[in-house]
Amino acid sequence: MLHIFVLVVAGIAIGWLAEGKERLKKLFVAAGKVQQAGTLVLLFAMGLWLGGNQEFWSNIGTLGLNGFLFAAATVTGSALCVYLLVRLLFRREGKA
Amino acid sequence: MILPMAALLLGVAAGRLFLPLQWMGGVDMLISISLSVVVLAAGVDIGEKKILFRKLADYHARILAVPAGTVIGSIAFGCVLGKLLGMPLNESAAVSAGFGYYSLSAGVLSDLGGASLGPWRLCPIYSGSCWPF
Repeated sequence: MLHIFVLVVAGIAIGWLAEGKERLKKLFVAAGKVQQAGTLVLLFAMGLWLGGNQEFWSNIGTLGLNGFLFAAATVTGSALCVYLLVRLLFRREGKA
Repeated sequence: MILPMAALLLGVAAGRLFLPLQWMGGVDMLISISLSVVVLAAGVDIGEKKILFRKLADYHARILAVPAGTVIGSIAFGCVLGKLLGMPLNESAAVSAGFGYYSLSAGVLSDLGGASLGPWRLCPIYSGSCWPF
């Protein structure tokens, strides 16, 4: 888990330091492409993991329903909370 | 959107039809490696956009209303749903804390949760409140 944070921070530091340097422009193009390709590989690998997992196939109905419920609950919760917070914080500013 | 979905479905089909059981360890390793690569590249992407950090200073702390609201709303509603479904609080909070980074959160949860998250750890792949990738 820790290595994830280390990698994000290292990536931000590299991006921060390399920004504006003409010679390193290719680095950012590469980073974008690597991110897209890496995401596809990651999703494919997670698909492999799911597909080869017996537990997944024997619970697919429940998992699908619960996954959908979690998606719906988190989308609703975050949209509602952001809407209320933005209204609260930015409307005051507008009136001032 | 179509490409990531296709990659996932292709993986599920390949895993179901062709994957020998003894290769599952290799799949775990592939998930870890690709997760690390994606996270590093995403970091470079963020670090490059210094304007983001300047915007943060311009709008002061109020701009944090959006991420803070996303965090609070997602986790709170996820925990309530988890309670209704009879899930332990830490598991429902972890599943809800993906915030749409399905490629990251599901990988991290499979890494962390192991058997303790049981079949629930398969859920985060669907969960999330926005779709940045």
